[in-house]
Amino acid sequence: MNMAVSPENLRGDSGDRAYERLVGCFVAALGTMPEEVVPDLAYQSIEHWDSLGHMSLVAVIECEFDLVFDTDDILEMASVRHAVAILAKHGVDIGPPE
Amino acid sequence: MALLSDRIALITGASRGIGRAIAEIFAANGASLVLCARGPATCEVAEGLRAQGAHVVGLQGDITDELFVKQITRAVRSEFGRLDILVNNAGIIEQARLGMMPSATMQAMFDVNVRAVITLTQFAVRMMDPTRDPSVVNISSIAGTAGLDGATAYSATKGAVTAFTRAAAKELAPAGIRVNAIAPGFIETDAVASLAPDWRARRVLSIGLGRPGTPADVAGAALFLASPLAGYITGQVIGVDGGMLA
Repeated sequence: MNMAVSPENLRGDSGDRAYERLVGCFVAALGTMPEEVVPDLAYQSIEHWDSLGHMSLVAVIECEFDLVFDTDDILEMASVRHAVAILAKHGVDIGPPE
Repeated sequence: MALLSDRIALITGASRGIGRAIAEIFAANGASLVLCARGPATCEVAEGLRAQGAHVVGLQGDITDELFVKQITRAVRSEFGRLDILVNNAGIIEQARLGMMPSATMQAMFDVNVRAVITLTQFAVRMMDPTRDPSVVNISSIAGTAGLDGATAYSATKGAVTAFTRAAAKELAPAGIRVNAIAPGFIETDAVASLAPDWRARRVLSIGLGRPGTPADVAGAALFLASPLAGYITGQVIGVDGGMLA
């Protein structure tokens, strides 16, 4: 799962590609369908995004983007939109979701 | 029989005493290790275990510093890709009666003995695979279960570790993560060597088996709890105290 892609590598990548990878994280961690992963998808809004699912999701995103989040980041990751913002804070050029 | 073959364990406070004994018995049972502690002795312990053929990483730092915790997380991920066992062993003890405990000392004990345990567990469980019987072993104390006079604040910190263990066991059971604690009694380590002689003498007299414990006594219990032998045990606090009355 860990693709060891640094934020620096991603800057030359398209935001769409990084966003696809984020969607893949949600699919892998929560068992959602890709089309369900929309910006407003929120914590506890679907069955598998509970506290344990959140733990898995964070782990998968950390591995995928080679990051270690702060505890505050994890608490703030309350939706896909928030996840995008937090990744951007860590230097991942993911672009705003449509 | 190597009880921990193909297992990855993170042990805090691994430079001496109970932590070092746990590192040694884990390595002897086939585990790969990430060891951390404040002093450079951690790296010496790691080097010694590597010389015996174990895969060991030593990290020096302060576990109350979240940046160091993140460094540990990165090291575990880059070296091993996952974590199977966390042993929260690091702790400090400062003796003082209730009215004589400086606020700063009390704060330091809570930071290391409680806050760091919770923080490191938060980070560690994110690296655990539910299908690999992951587990957390917290080193509490008989002080936390029975209370020790002359060590009220320390007793409070270890009581918090006991409560955290039981609560985390419930919360993490659905993720397949076992959480247990060991409550050592009077164990001969550097940490207790400096305690008042009369206080030590009274404690030893209260031990049913008639001798202080050794770090190896505690390490054996840690090995059991981390191993498949304890695969159906969670939320428990095992006394390793030789029948000490406290």
